[in-house]
Amino acid sequence: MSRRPSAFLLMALVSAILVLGAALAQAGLSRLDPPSPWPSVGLLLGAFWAGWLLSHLRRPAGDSMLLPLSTLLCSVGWLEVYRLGPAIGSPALGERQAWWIALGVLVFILSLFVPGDYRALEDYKYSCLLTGVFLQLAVMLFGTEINGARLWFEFGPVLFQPVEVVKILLVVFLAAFLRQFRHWIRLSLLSPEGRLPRKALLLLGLGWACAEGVLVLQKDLGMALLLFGLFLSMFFLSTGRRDLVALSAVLAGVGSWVCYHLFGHVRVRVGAWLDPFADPQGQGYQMSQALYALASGGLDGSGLGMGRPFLVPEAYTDFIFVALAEEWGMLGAVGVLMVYMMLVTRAFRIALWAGDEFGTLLAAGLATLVAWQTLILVGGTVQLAPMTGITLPFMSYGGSSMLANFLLLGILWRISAVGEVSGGD
Amino acid sequence: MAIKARVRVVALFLLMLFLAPVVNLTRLQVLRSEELSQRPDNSRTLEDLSLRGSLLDRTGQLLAQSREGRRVYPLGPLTGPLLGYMTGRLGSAGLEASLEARTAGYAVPRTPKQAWNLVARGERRGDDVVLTLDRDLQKVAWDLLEGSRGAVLVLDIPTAEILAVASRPSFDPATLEADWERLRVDPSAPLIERGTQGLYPPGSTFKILTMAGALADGRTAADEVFACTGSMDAGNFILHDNAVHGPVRLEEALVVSCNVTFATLGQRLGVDGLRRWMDAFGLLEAMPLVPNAAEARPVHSGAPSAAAEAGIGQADLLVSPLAMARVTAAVARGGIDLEPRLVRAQTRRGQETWRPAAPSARRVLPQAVAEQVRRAMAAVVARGTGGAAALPGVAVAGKTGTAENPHGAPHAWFVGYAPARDPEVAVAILLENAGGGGAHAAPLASRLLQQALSR
Repeated sequence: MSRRPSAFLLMALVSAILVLGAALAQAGLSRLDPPSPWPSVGLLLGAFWAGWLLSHLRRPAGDSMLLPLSTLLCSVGWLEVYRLGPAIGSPALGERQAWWIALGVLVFILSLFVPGDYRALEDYKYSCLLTGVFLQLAVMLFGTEINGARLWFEFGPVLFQPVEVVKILLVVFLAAFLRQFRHWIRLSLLSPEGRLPRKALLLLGLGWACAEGVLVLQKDLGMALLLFGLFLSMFFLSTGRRDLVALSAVLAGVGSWVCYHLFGHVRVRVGAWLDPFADPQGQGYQMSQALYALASGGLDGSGLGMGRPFLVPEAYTDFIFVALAEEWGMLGAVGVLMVYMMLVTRAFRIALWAGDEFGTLLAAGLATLVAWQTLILVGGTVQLAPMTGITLPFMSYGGSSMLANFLLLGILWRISAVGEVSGGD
Repeated sequence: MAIKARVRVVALFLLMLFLAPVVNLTRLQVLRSEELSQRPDNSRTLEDLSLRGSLLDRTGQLLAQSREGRRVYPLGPLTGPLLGYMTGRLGSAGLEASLEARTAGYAVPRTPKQAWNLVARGERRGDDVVLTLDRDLQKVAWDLLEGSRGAVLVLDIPTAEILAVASRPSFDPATLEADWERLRVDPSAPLIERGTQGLYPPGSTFKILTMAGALADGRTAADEVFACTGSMDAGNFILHDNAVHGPVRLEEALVVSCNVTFATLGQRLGVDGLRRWMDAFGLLEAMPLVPNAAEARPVHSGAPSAAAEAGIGQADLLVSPLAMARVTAAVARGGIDLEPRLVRAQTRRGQETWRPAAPSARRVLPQAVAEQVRRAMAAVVARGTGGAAALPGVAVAGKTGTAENPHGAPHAWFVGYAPARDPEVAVAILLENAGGGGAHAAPLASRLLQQALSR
């Protein structure tokens, strides 16, 4: 209860950043005759404060830092999206993104009003798994193909990317499954005759096969990395078997090497990553433009609306972090990374405070999901890893990912609300 | 609780990983910022294009100009790959890229003079660059290539200035961005400027160099008689000639383009001797005033037949049309080489602000040797393979070439100059896979030389 005033101040700070940023962006864009940002800013402020108010009224014990951190990321991301809209010839981009954020906050609020306890989720683990698998298979078979990848469902004007929800379903399943069977898995490892830990190996093999399957069938390198990182992290959290985790990491390395040599699209990605300047007008175009954007941003950035982040293809989705780093500079980009670190840290604290094992595993799994997703995407844009087409939580343009991330936030809030009551502080 | 201890481990591990992007952001945004900003394909360094200076031809007519924030090229495809382009999306290429520093606007004054211009006159526009090209002759050269792939180049002999260099296929700079994906993968390489960057086997045009080198080195004499039986043992295979020329004197051998004679001279000079002569004519070095020009490639093959084949311009020897024009001009000047140039001056409101140093004349051949080669080249057009290049009232000298290559029919070549006695202009014509040089390239030379002389 004592943290509420400071959370209130933080929300006020986020609002001030959003309002000042919108004014700066509008001034910086004056040549392009941008649409007025103020209706969207009004919508966002309304959503943020409604979320804050309702969440504290409904579940007052929840972690009050979650909302200021996530809305700060949303605000910064929205400013870049709004700013990119007129430059890439779709001025309504900012308005649409504002609606998605508002809907995301609505999902967050609704998740707080679902009666019962998050622990009920544990009973639905196989439903979660089946739903996830069903959605993935359905999108592979019946989805709409964009840029050579079949990852979307098309509903009229709206594109739905089921993988965003599937990730959360998978975390719920893994948390429940591993909690229920972790002793069984551990026991099977500790066989006195020194036999092979067959069941655990089988489970790891399954996770590995899923990740490689995504890579091969869906050509989605980022998703494969994310699935595998998530799976290994949660396997380690529940069983504590460092040796098996290390073994899997080695296997994943071997798998990557094989994929590199078997699949052209993986080679192309890796080539564009290692030496974007080998073909700066072709395969390396996006990466070399991203590097130029980073270089032109420098330490303190060009200023909101003053840079040319629109020269990087997909700047408003996959490369939103580069757009940010160009206009807000290295200082702004590192600042945003620190906000992500704080959000991840809060999620891990929720895991530590959770009153039960399932809560701990679920919160830690969600924290891991956000952390890996951020690391993989940011790593891809700053030339630490091959570029992958996943979204940056709370910042990239896109409805599915925004709604899914706020759902994740809602689950974290529910765990924290129970945890603080039962566990104390 | 053990799980919670592991939560701490995983949390710490993941938070540590966040250090990696911070480190790389520092590296890219601060430490490497300068280096990345200066890469030529980085279009961000091109400040507002409307401040850029123009490119002009030798008479001051516009070749490239900034208008409403875009670069406009009045000659369109005629100067396509030569001038290159400068756009926000694709960056810059060609002469536009090479001259970028000279035409740059004064967004930020870099010298006291620029600062003065900015403060006192409010001037922010960059300087103009005057090229050596002649707009009208460029049109003539372009029209000659109608329906062909290849290059046409005209060199002013007294100054070594390039008066025209046309290359086909080309692209239209006005629709470059829209056509980009197609142009980039087009197997006929429309983005390559063939006159200065294209490298081809020179075929028989190279016999000029073989003859000059062998004479200057004392490996042959003007009165030596070669017995051509229509073929010879080149080392590891039999080299066939186009005919049995019987006993021929050196000059006559050039007139009929006797392969046996020049393969023999190639063997006498050896691979190293030929390379030395290519170097002497300046073919193996970059030319600062013809940016992007490709250096010739001497023989690398170690085959026993390499020297004989190189003597007739084959083996793995590669040269640009500009290189052959340079050799031709040096012979025409009586053995004096001048470095070709494409850039004449930098100007601001018609006043010169920079001019390259005057070309330094370099003797590569003794006068007597050059005269022997000149006589032979004049005879090639008067009564030999280059007959189609002849002009009424003006004596023309030259050499044809029919260069075997792995890409299909032979390349047709002609290099030459006119007037034969008092040379003014040299030309090089290359038609990819067009067949015989005498039949296909030489007739173009006739029309080109006529236009160049009446200029």
